[in-house]
Amino acid sequence: MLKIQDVTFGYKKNDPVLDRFSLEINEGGIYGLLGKNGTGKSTLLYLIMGLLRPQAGLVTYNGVETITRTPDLLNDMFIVPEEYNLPGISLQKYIDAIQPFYPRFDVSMMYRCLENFEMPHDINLGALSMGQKKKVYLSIALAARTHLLLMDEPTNGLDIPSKSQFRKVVAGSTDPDQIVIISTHQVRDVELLLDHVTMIEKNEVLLNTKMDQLFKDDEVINLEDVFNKLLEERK
Amino acid sequence: MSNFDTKRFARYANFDLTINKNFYRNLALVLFFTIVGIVVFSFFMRWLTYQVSAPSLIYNDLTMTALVVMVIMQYSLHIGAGCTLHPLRNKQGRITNLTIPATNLEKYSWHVLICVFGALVVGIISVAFADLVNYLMTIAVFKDTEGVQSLFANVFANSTGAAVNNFFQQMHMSMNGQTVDPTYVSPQEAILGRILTASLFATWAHIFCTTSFYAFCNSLKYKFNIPLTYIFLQLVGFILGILMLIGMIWFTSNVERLGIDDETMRAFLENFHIYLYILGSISILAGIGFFVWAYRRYTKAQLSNRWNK
Repeated sequence: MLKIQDVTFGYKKNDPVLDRFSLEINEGGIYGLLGKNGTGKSTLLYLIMGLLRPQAGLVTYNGVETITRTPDLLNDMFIVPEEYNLPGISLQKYIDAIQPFYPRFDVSMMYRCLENFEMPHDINLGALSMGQKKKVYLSIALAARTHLLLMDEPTNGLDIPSKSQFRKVVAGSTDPDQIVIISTHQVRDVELLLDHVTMIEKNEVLLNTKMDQLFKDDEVINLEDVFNKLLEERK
Repeated sequence: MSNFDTKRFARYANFDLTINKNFYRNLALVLFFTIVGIVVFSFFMRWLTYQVSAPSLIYNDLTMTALVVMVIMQYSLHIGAGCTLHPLRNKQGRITNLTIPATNLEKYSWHVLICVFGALVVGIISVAFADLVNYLMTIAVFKDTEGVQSLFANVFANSTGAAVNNFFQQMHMSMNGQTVDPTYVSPQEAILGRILTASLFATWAHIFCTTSFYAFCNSLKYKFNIPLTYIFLQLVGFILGILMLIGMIWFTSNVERLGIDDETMRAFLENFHIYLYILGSISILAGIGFFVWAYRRYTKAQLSNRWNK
């Protein structure tokens, strides 16, 4: 379904953030894209979304290059960026404008998500705090029910109770056939949520495995330890 | 899959108007009040002149006001074209715009429609409203209902072939004190008429070309593109002006050496309108080219590039 093939990309010449990076995701589930700051996690999400053009290599979703940004491709993908500005209009107006673009959009699911985030329905988007905006945008993203959903540092800006609400909302609102990729460096916020984990470090996939396979090993306590151990081994 | 679907286009237009409503409204209000303000200001200037001068002065003459309004409308077209990719001005805007499910053609054509044609429509509405304001003020202050000029008619006359006819009518009047046979056109006037008509065409073509150049520059740089484009065009105009001046000085001092006699000059003047039409046609082609180029750049827009971080 999602294929990243030998992708090279950098913001400056001769300084690639990703160098011949490859990854393939063929089944639905919640994928954790973990790595230190500046390892290219957000860049990878933007490349998947077709927002950046690879200098070499291909990113395809269902066999179509994502950089083409065709409507058929885009109405099956959604990205929740790390920071987001919403216009100063009512939520209802915003939903009325965005809903027709996504054929599987489920308004009732959006309101359910908002309730789980303890957010009222009747809100003006311009008057929200950063955390509240994130909750609203996450609710819209989940309600769009696209088969590919990308989230960039979704727990940044959320307080501690909201982080557990986030896990509850994402776990309860995703279909098994959906690919949800959560990029974060805050491993603890999402580890209970993940079906699959991919750890990257300087163009290298350090780990790419299912969570149940990872936790078969009794030595493993949590993802943070796994990550630290892998980094130590790499040194 | 179709590259242009009217339903999807309408959907995208609705989405854009919903999230960028304030921006478009503010732009339209600035243009509207600028045009109305100029007309009100010009009215008071005419009223002041009327107070200190003889009442026989043409207090309702709107020719100058119409010219100022036309310049404002030209700038509004430039500003509108410079805002075609306004939604891409920041990273979050780029994410929203580039990931919304519509084709690049639908998105880009909508932005050209709302920003360029929108500016033109708002300009026309503003002129019509300013006309009404001017009419009411003239009636109220000068108690004149018959001699009120129309700003709309003035703007229209100055931007079409009517301007050329007006020019000759005025010329005949000033030569004889009254209008002589208005249908009579001397051979020299015929040449001048052709040149003026062609100049009008070249001016319109130039406005179209510079407008599309603003749109093109917006596809290169999403922020501060309007002042940068303005400075660039002024610089180009200045350099071209200097080059033309040098060329004219060189030409006048080498007329004899080049073997240019009166006959050659007459032939040149007789064909001058053709050169203007060619120049105008090149400007139109360049204008289309800039719009196409801007669209192609939009299809390749990324979240971050050299000029737009």
